[in-house]
Amino acid sequence: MAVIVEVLNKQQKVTERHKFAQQQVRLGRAFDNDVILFNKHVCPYHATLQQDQQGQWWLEDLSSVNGSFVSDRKAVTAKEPLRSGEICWLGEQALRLYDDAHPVAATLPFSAVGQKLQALGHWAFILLFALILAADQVAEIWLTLPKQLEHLWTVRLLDLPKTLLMFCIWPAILALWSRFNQQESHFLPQLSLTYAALASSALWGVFCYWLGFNLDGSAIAQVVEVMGYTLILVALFCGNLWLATHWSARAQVAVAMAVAFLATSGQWAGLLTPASPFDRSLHYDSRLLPLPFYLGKGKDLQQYEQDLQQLFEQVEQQRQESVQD
Amino acid sequence: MLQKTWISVLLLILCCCPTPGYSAAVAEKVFADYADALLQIKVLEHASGAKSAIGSGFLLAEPQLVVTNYHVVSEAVLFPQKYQLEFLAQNQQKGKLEIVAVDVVNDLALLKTDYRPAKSFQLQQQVPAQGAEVYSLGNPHDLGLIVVPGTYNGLQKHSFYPRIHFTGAINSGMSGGPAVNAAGEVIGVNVASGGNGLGFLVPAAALQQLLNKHPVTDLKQDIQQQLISNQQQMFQQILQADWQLKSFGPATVPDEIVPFIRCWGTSNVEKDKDDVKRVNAFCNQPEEIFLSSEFSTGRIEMQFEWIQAKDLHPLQFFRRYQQSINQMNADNSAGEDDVTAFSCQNQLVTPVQGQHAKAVFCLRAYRNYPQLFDVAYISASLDHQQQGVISHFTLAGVDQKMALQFSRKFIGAVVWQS
Repeated sequence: MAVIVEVLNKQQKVTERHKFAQQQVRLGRAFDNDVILFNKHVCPYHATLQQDQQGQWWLEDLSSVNGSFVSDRKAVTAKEPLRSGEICWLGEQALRLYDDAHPVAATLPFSAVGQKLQALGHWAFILLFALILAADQVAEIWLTLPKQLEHLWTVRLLDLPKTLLMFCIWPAILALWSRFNQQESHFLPQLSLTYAALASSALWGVFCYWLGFNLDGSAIAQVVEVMGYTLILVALFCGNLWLATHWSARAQVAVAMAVAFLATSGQWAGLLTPASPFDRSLHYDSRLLPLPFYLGKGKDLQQYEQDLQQLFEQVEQQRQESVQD
Repeated sequence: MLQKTWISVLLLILCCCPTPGYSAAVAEKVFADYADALLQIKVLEHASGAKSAIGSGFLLAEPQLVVTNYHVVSEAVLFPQKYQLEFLAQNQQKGKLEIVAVDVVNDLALLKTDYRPAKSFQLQQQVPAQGAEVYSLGNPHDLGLIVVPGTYNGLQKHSFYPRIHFTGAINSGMSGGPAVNAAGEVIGVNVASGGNGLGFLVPAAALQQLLNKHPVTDLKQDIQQQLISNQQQMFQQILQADWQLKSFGPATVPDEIVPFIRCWGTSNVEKDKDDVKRVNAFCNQPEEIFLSSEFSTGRIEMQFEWIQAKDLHPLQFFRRYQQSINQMNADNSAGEDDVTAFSCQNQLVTPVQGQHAKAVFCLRAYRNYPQLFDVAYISASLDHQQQGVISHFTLAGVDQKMALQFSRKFIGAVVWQS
């Protein structure tokens, strides 16, 4: 019966896999071993794996400098039995032993979502999202740059590639993380996903600007705006995790939501906590758009005055509450 | 005949040019007569026993009360558990003082004491003549009591509150001291320095009114009543006035609607480079009522901006336009214990048929003076693609009725002439 010896890294991920038909496997740094190890704390002839008559494998330490260990870091004095799937250490080098009858995990099927996410990595999608982002930035420059500073157009435009490059960092980190976990890096799909989230945030921002102006800066518009940003982030992180990990769907959604709420916590806190009495500034929505963008009719002075009376009552109530405190 | 002419010329010269020597002599006499009735007022903190404020005061003969400025003793009025009042007379006598009544609008306070100097001050019953010699007495910067001679110049013009215009250097520590005529009669109380040898006095008439009213049982409630009735008087004058409108670009806006509101204007028209032209007008009633070192009230301010663009896309123009309305602030200072946080109401309004404006109305209430509010309002017209008019006002310490009536009249006055 053949034996499989896996060499593991510090994270206990497999770096090498050897299969032997013999009943003794020699382990160590010397080149005449069966498994040649790299780790400097491993002796040239550190240990052997031996199978007895009953088919049981034993780890025997060859009086090594740094010792050998089995489960629970139990030191091997002479020899210790090893079960299939158990990890042992030569010094700090981890190894795992399997017999060839050991069951393997079920095949992971391709998922529809995963394939769509990977398809996002096509350059056409990346280009599309990058163009939307660029259009948003160009529009911002066009809206705000004063005529007398027109020569700054080129300088401001140079920010664009800088921004696009800067947002490559996040997918790069994710890709590295995947590589670390010995998975496909999926850099392009992650990049595409990040740009998609940025582009939708930009479009959502434009929509909310209009919405806020139309709803007269009401609290509903503000909540909708922050909720939208949070959802975009949840979607982004779900996609990131789907591509980068093999966690269960529930774990991915939970982590994505946690991170998204953490990222938007400042905005939520601003919306949900009452105004601080130490805050002397005035908070109001100053957004202005040309009249055709306003779908409502506006209030006449009489209706407006009724609203203001309500405001007076509301503030008077606040005062009474604060005096009681 | 010749001799008679000579004598009359000599007399004329003597009368017309009172020499410095003469004036100094009178000052010395006044000071010598009343030195014991002049007090230094100290606000002491119970816990540390340290001085937290210092000012001047004087003793009246009838009734026997000490007069000073409200702003000198405000801490002791607002936090009687934390602060106490003491006086120090020129003859080194010391003693405790107790607050009897205050007038925050005219910045006066009356205090009770057992101290009886040989000679106390009397109020002058008639109004002095323009140019009359006046001597302001007080205790600037804790250096000891001094006399500052100066001239009576009548009541301050363009002021809602009656204040005597005094040409003479009043310093901060002289607040609460008396200003007297050559006979030693009080014509006013030192209240503020306008800088450069310009001072202001609260007239004796205002002091007389407070004397007629004292004593007051609940000081804080009385202060609230004073604020309420003062703002009512001020706003009734404003609301009843026939508002002078001036044309301001394509619109009309209120101008100097009452004598105590003054207006100024600026623009960037000469700067050809700017892609929007901005014209500003600014009006205010700048005098504040002091309530505490952190809290003042009573100001009115109005501001207008006409902004006009050439060759800008409407979206570009509105982005620049928006920058003009995004930084509105209160005009008066207030601590966190004095007022609630601002609440704002945002609305698109149609002040006149066919005209639209975005209006923001912000409000905060005075925690300890019910019915009084600070208001800040700003609105931007929306009917034109390349130009707009922003109108803004802040009111400090108004009640709901006055605030709403003022707002209605203000919004009605800012109209486009198309």
